[in-house]
Amino acid sequence: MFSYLESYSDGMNKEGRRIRTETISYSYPVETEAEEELISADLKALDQVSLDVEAGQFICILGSNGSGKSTLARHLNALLVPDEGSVWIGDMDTRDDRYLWEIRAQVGMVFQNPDNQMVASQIEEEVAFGLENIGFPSADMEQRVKEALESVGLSGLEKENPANLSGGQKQRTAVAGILAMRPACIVLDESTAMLDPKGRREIMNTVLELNRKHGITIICITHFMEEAVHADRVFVMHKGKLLLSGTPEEVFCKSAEIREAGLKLPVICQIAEELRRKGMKIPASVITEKQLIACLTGVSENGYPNTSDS
Amino acid sequence: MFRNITLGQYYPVDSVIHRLDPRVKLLGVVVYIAALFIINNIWGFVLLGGVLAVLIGLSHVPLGYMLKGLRPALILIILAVIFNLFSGTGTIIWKWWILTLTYSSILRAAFFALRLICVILGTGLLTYTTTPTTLTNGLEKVFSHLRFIRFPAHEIAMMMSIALRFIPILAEEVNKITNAQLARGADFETGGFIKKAKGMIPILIPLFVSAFRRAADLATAMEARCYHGGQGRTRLHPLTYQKRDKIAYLLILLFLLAVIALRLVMERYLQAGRI
Amino acid sequence: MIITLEDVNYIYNPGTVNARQALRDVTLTIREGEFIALAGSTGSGKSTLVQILNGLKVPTSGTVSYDGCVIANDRKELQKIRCRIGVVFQYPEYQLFDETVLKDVSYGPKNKGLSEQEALEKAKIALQQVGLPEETYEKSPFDLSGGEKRRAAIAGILAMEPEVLILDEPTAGLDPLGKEEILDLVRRYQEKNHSTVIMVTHNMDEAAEYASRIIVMENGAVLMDGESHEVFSHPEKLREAGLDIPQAEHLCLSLGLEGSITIEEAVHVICERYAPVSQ
Repeated sequence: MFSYLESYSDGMNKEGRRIRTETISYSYPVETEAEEELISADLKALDQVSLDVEAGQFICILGSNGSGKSTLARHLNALLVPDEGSVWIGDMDTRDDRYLWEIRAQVGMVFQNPDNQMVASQIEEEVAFGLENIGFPSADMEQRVKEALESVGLSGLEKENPANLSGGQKQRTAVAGILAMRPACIVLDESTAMLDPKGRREIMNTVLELNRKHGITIICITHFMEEAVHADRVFVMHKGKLLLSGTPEEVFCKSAEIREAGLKLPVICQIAEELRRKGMKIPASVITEKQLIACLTGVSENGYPNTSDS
Repeated sequence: MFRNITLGQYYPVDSVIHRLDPRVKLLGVVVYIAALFIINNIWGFVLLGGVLAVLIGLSHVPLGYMLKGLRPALILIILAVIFNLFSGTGTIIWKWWILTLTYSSILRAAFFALRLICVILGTGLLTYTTTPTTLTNGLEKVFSHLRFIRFPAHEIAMMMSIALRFIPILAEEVNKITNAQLARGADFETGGFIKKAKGMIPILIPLFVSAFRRAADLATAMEARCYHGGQGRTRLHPLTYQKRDKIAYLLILLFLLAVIALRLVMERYLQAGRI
Repeated sequence: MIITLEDVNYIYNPGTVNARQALRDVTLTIREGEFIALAGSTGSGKSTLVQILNGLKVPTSGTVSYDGCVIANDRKELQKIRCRIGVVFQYPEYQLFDETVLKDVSYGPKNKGLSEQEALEKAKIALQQVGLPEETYEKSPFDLSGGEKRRAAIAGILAMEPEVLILDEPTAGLDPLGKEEILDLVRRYQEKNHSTVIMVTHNMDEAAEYASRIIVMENGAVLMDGESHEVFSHPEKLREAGLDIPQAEHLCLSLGLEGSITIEEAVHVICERYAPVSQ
């Protein structure tokens, strides 16, 4: 069913799909401050940010409003180019105009507001939009659109008007529009922020599956802390700088820094922290409900030490 | 109140008219409207009405649904008829105060009403059988022939399809903002014109702010998906002529010739009769 | 103010093919000083209910009464009710329009018929309540940050001194600390004024932490209505309505501990059960 995606990822070497930012800095021109960023003239929207994302990883970038996380996202497919430093998609520099369309086809973006990113009044036309732009042959387009809609679980809605879809379905349509171009990476720029819990689950499950089954790199920019729990790596942005990075376990045990960045620990981590304060021995690496239960009941799942009946 | 706004009034059934290439239908409508102004006698209307009836029959759009489209224009039709009815010259058959009725004015009023009804039904048939998207594609293709005078066919078509998508969204937004301001005790109904106009500011400003934000968002999203104008663009469903389209072109041509012939013949006949 | 709804039905586009029943036989009493969470999945009728409560919509059948008085379907009467029941709609920052924050916040009080001076006074009090510093008063509302805009918009409703405050997903789109700020400000306001607060939310963690009563809507009808512990003791029924239970409760239930729905309660019962005996 997903053969086209697999053959695609096989065809490209892992190195070619690696995404790197090398100490990039960026300031918005003073008169056109990006929305929600509100950067004063002396403050950089991005300040010496270095990321290295390997192909097939699931990455979460956390940060409060105005932390620069959306600015960072826009550097990943050359919507913005850095003032200093450079962004590399494989061996393509985003500043090189020759690679512009190639980069944008490789790194797709899903934005926050589902309504504001759809152009067409029919789902299949919407999904085909990117392919049309890069001059993809019409003859093969229908097949690509069909497969992309299948991958996000929206088969049968080809002729539907986007206005009749739920928020979650609209965002999955946006994902399909990117999938049709067979990307190496999908960037979700707060794509779940305006959805209800059901829609949020739909979209997260969809991208998780794409990540696991087809090795598509997912970079998820969010302030829903729970979405970061299963990520391979978590980055925390604050005031344009990279404040924390590491595995979720490494990041979520730094509660003071998380707080400083305008964020809050996931509920389970908050409970674990409270329990620790009350004198219970809960390892800092406990960040999911499963781990906490294992740790409390002494069922040493994942090799956690038995701490409850000391 | 705005939730049910639909642009265009596509009637989703399958018929040979629905399947025709939009370019054929566009030309058809142009020829049809031209024909309405070429014909000047009752036989012309008989021919036209017959053709229209056949087309409606082929389109599988119920007649009642077609006639519903006339309702909003009813007042216009009645006004035009009344105006034409009493502004004629020639043999007066009835007179009261400044109102006079003549044979020619009755005939003119009748023709005028028929023309209006035929225009509405004909263009209605186009919008009932063609989705706005297809129609836009057709227009883009037709107007791209004007490339040599740098006519921005693709840009206009893109603007049209974005408008089709966003007008209902903005209408819904007006509804939301109105509710929000009503909840703040706003009163949009009392007072004179100036007060009412001023009262609209709390709706208009948020609406413009929102429209600009949406426009900026959409521009970014389109750019992120490699949009760079019409150059080198391909289409999911490129318009290609089928056999039926060629036949339709031929029929349209025949229809036009028939209408012209009818007028010429009738004029000759009437002249002969007069002599 | 006590609001009573009796057998309220609401139908969109009645008598047409597009007719859709948004509320079915809703009977509710909103008592004074309650902090209510109104929950339900998208399309469950929450938004319609909110619009009925403050007179933006008139029920197709059934009655709504305020302190025992049934309000006639009259524009003036409805406008008065709208001033007594403040609604903060979703993304309320999209309603900001005036040149300065202060002027914008005074729009509501002015509509209530207060003089310019009085309205500005009310606006200042409201801005203090939402914690916006004085230097923002003369700024354009469009120059504020996301969280500040939200607070200014809430102040615009508080300035009308409503007897009942309804907030439709007041934290949507904000970052975690922004969310906490808004919720704490609502809680402070509620405790200080003993006013009635109804908060529409999808987030059951928020509902458990802040509300004392929870009303769950499903398919236009009231599915559950009761004290929060009572409502959350029926997880299967909530799931039926497309809702979760609070994460803290989920954890406790997995551990076989019942009855705790907030983080504080969960920590308490877990400590009791699992803390080493020596401590």
